[in-house]
Amino acid sequence: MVDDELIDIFIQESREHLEALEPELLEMENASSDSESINTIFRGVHSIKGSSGFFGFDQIMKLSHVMENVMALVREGELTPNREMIDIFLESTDKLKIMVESPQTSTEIPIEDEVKRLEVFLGGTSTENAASAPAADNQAEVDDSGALPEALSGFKLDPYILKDAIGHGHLVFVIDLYMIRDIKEKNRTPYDYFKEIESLGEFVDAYFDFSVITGLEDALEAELKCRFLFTTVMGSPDMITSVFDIPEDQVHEIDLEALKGWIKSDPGTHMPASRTEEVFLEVVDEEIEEEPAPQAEPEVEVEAAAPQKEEASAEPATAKTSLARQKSKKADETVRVPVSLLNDLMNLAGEMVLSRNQLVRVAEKYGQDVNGLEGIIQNMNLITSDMHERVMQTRLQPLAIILSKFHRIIRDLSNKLGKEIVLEIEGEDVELDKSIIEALSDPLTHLIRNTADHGIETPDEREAAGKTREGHARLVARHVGGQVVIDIMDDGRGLNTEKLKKKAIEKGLITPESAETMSDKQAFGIIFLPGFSTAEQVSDVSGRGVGMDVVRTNIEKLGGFIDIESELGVGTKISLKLPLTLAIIPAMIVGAGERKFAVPQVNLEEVVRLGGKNQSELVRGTRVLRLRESLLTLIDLREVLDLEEDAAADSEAEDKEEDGYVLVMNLDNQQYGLVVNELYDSEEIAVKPLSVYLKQAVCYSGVTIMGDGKVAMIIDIAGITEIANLSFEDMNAQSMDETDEALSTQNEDMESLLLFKNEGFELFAINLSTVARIEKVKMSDIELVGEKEYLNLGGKSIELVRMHDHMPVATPENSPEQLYVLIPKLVDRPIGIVATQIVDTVETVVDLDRDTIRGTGILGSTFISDSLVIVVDIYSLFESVDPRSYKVTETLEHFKTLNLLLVENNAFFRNIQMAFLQDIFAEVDFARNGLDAWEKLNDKDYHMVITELELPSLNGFELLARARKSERLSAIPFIATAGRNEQMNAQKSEEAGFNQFLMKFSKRSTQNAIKEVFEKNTPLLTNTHL
Amino acid sequence: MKYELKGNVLEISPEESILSTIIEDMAKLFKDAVDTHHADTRQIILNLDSVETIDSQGLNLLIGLYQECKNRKWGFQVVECTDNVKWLFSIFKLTEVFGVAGESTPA
Repeated sequence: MVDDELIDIFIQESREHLEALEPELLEMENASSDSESINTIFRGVHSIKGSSGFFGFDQIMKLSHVMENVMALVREGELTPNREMIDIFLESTDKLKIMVESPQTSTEIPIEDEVKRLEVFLGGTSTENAASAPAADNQAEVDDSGALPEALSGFKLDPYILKDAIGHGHLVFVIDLYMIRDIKEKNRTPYDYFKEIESLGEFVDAYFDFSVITGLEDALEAELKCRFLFTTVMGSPDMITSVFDIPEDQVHEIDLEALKGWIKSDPGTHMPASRTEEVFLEVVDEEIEEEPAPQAEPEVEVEAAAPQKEEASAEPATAKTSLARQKSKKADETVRVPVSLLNDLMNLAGEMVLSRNQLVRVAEKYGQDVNGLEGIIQNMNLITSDMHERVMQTRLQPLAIILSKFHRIIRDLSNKLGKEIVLEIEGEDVELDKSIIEALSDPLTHLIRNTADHGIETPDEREAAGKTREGHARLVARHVGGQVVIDIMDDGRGLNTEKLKKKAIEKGLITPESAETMSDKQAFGIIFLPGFSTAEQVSDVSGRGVGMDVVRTNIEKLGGFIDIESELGVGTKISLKLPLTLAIIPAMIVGAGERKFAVPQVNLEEVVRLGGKNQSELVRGTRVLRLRESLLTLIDLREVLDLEEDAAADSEAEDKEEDGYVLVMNLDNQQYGLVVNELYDSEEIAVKPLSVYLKQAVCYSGVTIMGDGKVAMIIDIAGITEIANLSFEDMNAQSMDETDEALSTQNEDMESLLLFKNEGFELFAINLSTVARIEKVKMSDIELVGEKEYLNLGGKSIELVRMHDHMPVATPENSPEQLYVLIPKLVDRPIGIVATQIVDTVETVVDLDRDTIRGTGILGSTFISDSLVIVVDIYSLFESVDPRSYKVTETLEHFKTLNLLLVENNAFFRNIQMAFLQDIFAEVDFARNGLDAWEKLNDKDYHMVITELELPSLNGFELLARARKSERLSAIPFIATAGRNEQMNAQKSEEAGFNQFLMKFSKRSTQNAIKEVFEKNTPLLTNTHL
Repeated sequence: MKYELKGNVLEISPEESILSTIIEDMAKLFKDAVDTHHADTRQIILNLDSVETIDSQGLNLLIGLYQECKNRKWGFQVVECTDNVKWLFSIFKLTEVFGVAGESTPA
């Protein structure tokens, strides 16, 4: 009876082979000459055939054998793979997948059609006699083992076992062991000796030097030597000599490169010639047959029959050995653990984090008097974090598990839909929690199918639109700041907002009035409405109108977030933002009334302190906050949760100046402000499910235990909007009506600044619009290469700069263990700026003093809340750090008599650009908004306008349109600038008639654009001034 | 230890661990068995059902017996190994050399 465990291993091995097969088949379709793909396929089916034959799973063996035969002809160059062959191979692979999942019932699966179609490629070659085929294969392969390292020549070698060992980072040694000297004389038995060593590696093969013993006469005195082939995790020959307790000259390390070379030559199993003698019975039996022995009894023939039978089933025996070895190898290197145990571990790690948080709180309060407690707490803090991370890692799985199938899906859909689609996948090695991976499979599959079905046009449509016949889809996964972002992009037809709105109105999903006021972004959101489908015909590919709704719900259930960007005729990008794990999430702990709540940080964009200039106001009965260029609808957490007594307690303060915080939340690209009255800390919290009694409470998504031991509810940020009856459509309609008016009264020079320190008293400010994100890092995370420091961010290295190395500011005496790195945006090559403390973010009008404090990287100084603040000029700082990338080497003298108008509403960028442009032009004037610019253009002659596209009152497009209609202004070159949406803005500005488009801000690009525009548009003008 | 000729198969059973303390006596008995039945023997089957341990010299003796068979062009097979012995043979890859079987073959 066959061991069930061995069958499990067979299933596991076969699954792995079949998983590897599919991408290789698709690869082979693209590059038929790739021998590596062909070999992988051949080995895969060969191995399945061998193993299934051993277990007697004839149906699996039959199909895999005929596949192997076809692939053998491909390997020998006698057959060239074509689409038809790949089709049948893929179909056969599917059949094998079904059969290996339940091998005992595999005979019920019909394979006649596949076998018949495969046999066509063999030109009628029979698939009978499957067991004899591998012997010929092996023979052919043995002849091909020329480059074998010499020390290995006496061993029987299975290249797969060696490849596996090398792949696991093992070293390979040949070890000579003398039975008497090395074992007996040390008072040990071979059994005890090897039992101690066996856990440190694998004895792949061994052979004795039998020549020292000729027979029973000299057996006892001989010094018998055994030579072992040993693969091990031990990293040096010294360790081997120590563990085996033998002299150095008995240990020979094998050169792995040479061994890899031998394996790569696809040698098959290597069997040394000397070994054939060792299978003594066979030799004897042949001789018995050769020499007629009158006394030979029938029993001897029975004896002889046994080994012959074994010989006939040589391959299955090898398969069994391979399986058994695999089994023992797996036992050595990995341990199978039930998922439930990992879940328990994860829960316990969560509890540990909670207990740690509680302990830290108590120690902060009462621990001052206990000597040494602080150090212990710190240590425990680190250990707990590390342990949590490690436990989390045990549940992480690579996205490749679900992404690899998409090539096949796209291929099949392309065939079915008559489209030509090329899919590129990046980031298959990005890892996510097992539960997220499992839950992500369906939504991602739906998105990919949708891309093929709706997104990418037919080849004829594409050609008519001036595109290549071949459509492109890209799936890119990457780590971004502790989360995983998956983008699904295509260069298809893009979303047609008008069509979406029309369809949604027809289906009664939205009203014509709301459609009128919808932004493009909101219109894209229509595809997520339940029951919406734009497919003209419902197909079995997609278009049943339930998918995208379910996709969004599932992504949100995972604590994720989905976003769409689309451009009609250009393409669509759907981005999924997901947490790495569900069990422990970063959250902001806030207070509403007397209670604490946890707000998931995934949806939190920024925090604004109420008070001072940030006062909420009532617009048509809705409480809003003016935030930069828009109005933010506010939801007061106390009101929405009906914390009446808490609200009543604060009622006395109603008339006083407003206090508290606004958490700017992002929900499906819509923002709202959640008002809380306390902001405590950002913490990693362990998420506990809600009890059944609270399941109906839509405002909570879970519960956690805080550091102080109290329970805190986790806010469901979507549920909160439901309770508050907040409709984003209404809100946006209102906002749009009010925004212009509101903005016209807003101080246009208001800037958002991030205040931080560099381990000293100096306070620095950086414009928030130039900061992509802030990373909290440990000193140990920073790597030193030469004199430069680097940080690994999601697999990419980013150079770091310490401000005191380049700027005239104080040098800190010590660098603390905990640091912050400000990652800038809107620069050519981001360089991380190291800070030791993040102080605050403020929104203020900067009265910049450019004279008192000057130097590299300093824009000027100002006072904020009575403190002197140095405003950092990242462009000047980066010029000093990396002059090759940032410094402008060419000086433009051609334009010294020309006038320029710069239209920029952001004071920081205006200051930066003005300083640079004043060196190029005779006069540079600035305007804060479009209307201001229009007045200036009518009052004075300018030779060029550089304008931001997103401007209050009159935006860049409208300004250009007015200018082009004016006879006096129509010829002035306009350069557009923007700080975001590069692709979309570049295209729109080209369509609108701008002469150039630039992303803010690069001196070099700006200078080149100015030169290019003048040379192209007004050469005479500039030439006359040369 | 005992030995018995069954047909032309000589079955030898050590019936105890093969250790250096008794190795010389055992080697002598092996030689006696081979010499006694050399004319009629075509194969030796070594039954190790009572052998719990084999030490270094014990291995020497087994290989000596194997070489003896080889010289005489006799078949050689080991049967009825205990788990420990089987494990040891698998380390040395002697299972392939000796043709170790699970139980003794009836004559």
